[in-house]
Amino acid sequence: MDILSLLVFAPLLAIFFILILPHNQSNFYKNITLVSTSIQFLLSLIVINRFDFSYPKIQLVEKFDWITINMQSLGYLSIDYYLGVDGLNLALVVLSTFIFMIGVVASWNVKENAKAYFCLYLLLTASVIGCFLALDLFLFFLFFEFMLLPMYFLIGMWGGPRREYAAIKFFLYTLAGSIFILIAMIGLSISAIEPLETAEQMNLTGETSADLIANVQNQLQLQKIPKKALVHTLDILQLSDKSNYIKGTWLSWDNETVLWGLSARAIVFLLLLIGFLVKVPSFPVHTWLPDAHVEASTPISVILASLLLKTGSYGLLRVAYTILPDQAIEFGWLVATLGVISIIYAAYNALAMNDLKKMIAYSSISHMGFVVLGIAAATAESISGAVFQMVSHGIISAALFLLVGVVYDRTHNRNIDSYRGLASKMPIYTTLTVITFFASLGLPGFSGFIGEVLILLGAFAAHSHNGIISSWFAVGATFGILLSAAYYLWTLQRMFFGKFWVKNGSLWSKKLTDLTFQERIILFPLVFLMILFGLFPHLILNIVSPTCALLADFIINR
Amino acid sequence: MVALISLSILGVFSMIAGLFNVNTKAVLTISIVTILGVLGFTAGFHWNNDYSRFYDMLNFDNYAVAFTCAILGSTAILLLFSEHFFSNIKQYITEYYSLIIFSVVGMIAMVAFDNLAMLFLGIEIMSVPLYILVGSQKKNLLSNESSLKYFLMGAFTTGILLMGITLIYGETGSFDLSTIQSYFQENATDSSPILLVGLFFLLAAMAFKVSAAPFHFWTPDVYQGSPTFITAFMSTVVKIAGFGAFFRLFYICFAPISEVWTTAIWVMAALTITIGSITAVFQNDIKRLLAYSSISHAGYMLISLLMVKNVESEAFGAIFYYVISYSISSIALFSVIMAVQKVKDSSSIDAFKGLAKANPLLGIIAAVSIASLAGLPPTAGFLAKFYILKSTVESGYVWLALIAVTNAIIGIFYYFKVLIAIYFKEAEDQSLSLIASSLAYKIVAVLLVIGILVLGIFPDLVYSIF
Repeated sequence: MDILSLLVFAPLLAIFFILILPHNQSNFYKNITLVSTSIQFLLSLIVINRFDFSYPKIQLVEKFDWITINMQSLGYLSIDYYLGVDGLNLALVVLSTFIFMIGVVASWNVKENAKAYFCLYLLLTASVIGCFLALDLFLFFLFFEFMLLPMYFLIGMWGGPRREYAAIKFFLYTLAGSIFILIAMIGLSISAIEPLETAEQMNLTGETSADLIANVQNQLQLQKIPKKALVHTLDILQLSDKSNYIKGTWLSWDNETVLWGLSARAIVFLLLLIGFLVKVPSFPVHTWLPDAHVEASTPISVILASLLLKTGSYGLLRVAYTILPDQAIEFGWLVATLGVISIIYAAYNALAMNDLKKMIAYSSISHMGFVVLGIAAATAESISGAVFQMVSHGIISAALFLLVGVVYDRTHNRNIDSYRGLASKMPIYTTLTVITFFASLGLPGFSGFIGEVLILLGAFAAHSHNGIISSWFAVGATFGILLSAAYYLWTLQRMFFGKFWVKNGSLWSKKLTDLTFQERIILFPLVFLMILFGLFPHLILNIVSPTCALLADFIINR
Repeated sequence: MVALISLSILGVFSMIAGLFNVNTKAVLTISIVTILGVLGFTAGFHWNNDYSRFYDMLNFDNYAVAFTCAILGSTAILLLFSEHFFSNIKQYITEYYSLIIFSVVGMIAMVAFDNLAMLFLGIEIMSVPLYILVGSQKKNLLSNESSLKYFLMGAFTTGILLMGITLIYGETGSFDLSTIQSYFQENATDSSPILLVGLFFLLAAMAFKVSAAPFHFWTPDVYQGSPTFITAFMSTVVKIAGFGAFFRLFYICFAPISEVWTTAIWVMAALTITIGSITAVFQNDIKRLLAYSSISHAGYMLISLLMVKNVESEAFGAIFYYVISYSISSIALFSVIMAVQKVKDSSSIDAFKGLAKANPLLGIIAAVSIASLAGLPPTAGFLAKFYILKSTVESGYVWLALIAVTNAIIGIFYYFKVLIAIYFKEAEDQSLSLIASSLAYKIVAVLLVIGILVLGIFPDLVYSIF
């Protein structure tokens, strides 16, 4: 077991310890979980240490044969256990381990059914990190869909009053999305081969493996390989190689068959697009998110906003854009339109919300719209910006939901109009909120600014770089920044400034104390990181941009 | 062969044992040990060792051996789980065992037949004990109703089955599968109306046995009315046998004229999945819900019949994997239902409120088995659906795959109704915490849960045996 597998499966060991610990030791559950997530965080730092920043492709590969289906005269389907890191996922992996660690501290007061809570939490850790690391589409899908189950229980069992509704809505939406991905995956599984394993079946040998691959691909294009020897694959990197597709199959690049006016590759791209956009979430499949956030408890909201949403946008880049670059260009306008609509529509929604948490949920959708736009533009800057924005939004949204949790814990009320002038009563809390709000609305000097600027730069330049989208999309998106400034500043005005007043007078004003020690140790690092990455964006960009440039290049030159 | 003889002896033994008031625990132990022994013997000696008996009436090829083992294994596990059910019954316990074992004998003939006469015999030997078992709660009106319903409709189906066999015989002049198959190969182009009618009579009869739409109407009533243990038996073991026979008959014998019946199967599969899952959404009784869900699963298994153009090992692997994953997940879920029914005299979903808190082990068993039935990774149920869908797309039935997938989402909705009751609702009274399970039950149930997960992660254990 190498370091990446350890990173994914370490929580399972912790689950085992929690399960054997008797109930009267329930205080130790959170300690075990904290230790486990801290170990994961350290492991992810070791991964960064071993990572070669100058090499843009997959590193630290772990690859084993996992499932092989022998279809006799139709060949084989080989599914691998395949993990690796590159610029697209490394930053997200480190972000996840960090946020999961924060999440445990935020869950410190969970008393009810603590055993189940922390077991599910650890399962979630494993599946989110596994999802970011998996490079075989099947394995990716497994982690991608498995994370729904712990999340479903975490929302449904420790949530607010309408938790059942929210949990099942969350589940059905994202499951419907996953099913689209499943269909696309089935289509892909019968279309492309893994050249090296095919060579093994044909008893070919070559000087180097590069020769061998070229030889097999050449023979494949000449249709000289007997069907029996074809080893089909779901390896994302192999699927991205044009010459691995079998001539005449549905998804081969030269297939001209048209179904409902679309080529088969276009249909698969759209299936993947819908599947991942549900998770992002983007307009028009975003409606589950506000409900899920409102009902979920604070730590679960944090995980949901800062990590689960990222698996959607990451999947879009890693799966849809890597495997179907030709369609990514074809449908760039669609992706960009949905992104821009999400940015503006969600921002207007946020403006209208009275529930603070709902407002932040909509702001989340709005900011994820930037990620979608950045992906759509597919220039080197905009993709780097999208990945940067994912990380930065991961940090900022975590802080935002923790901040909402602070007032909610004290008064069990999140309505903006129930509070005024909190600044005088809770100065540290107010300071942190102001900083986080500014970071989120994209003030220069904070990490949110860098991500949005890179995305907008890329989107403006796209028409001259690769001609995928026109610059009007970027103009529209800029309007979203304006709106986000409006709703954040308005909220600050209404809740924090002015004379102190709360709805339930003296009862609440006693409860509304400033941040506790526990709240400080999770909020300060997040705020620190927002500023750090805003001032020194190269800390992330060094990791991210080589791979993103390669991907942008790959999409243009497909 | 050894399987048939020793199980028949076992059946007679347990029936006589009832007369002499032999300790029922001892009879149960003997039955389980014998069944497992027979399973071991069949797997050990007949695997890769084709073996024909009674002038080619029965043929123990690998396919038959695999299904026989699945039937025997599921029966043994069910019998191990029977403690909760039989603790409420005071008399005629050994007769239950004996009827179940006789029914299993019929099933073995059903999956190993090489002759239409043997198919008929097998189905009858299986069904007659079932009619009795379904109505075994003599004082329960629902049980009586379901027994009568099942019996009348079953008898009618038997007539249709026989008529179908007769018509096929009239056209081909043989009961023997290989003779019929070669007749079809020679005369594939001009299939006479008599043959077609015969074929569709057989199709209807088999569809009735596996409760595929539009021959599914008996299923909900019978599943709800029967004693839960028998419902579990019918929705798992009987289903395995039904599909074993269905598949053997159509996939092997009628393969040469597949274009005649694939459209019918297509429509039936689409109907079955859709009717099953949509109706299940509106159920409040868990046994009825599982009845509709089992109809829906039957639809997925029907799809595997469409893989007639694919390679044998792939089709066999897909159906066998589906059958295994479905039956172990259902058995696990039914074991939970039986445990709950021991303390609550109700099978409505409300009876399960707060189960996870009162008894976490049962909660976990239910969660994993429901996840598997709903087809979520990394359980066996997910890969079972994946294999079926993959081969559907491969064979070019994209629309059917889309219908199946849509229904999988609906499936989540109704399965999760049960999970919501178990995990998110508060219990109405304290009775659920009274459930006491024996150590044996706990061990077997945990093994079953592990089995569901292991099969989901290492599917090759079952999928690639052919």
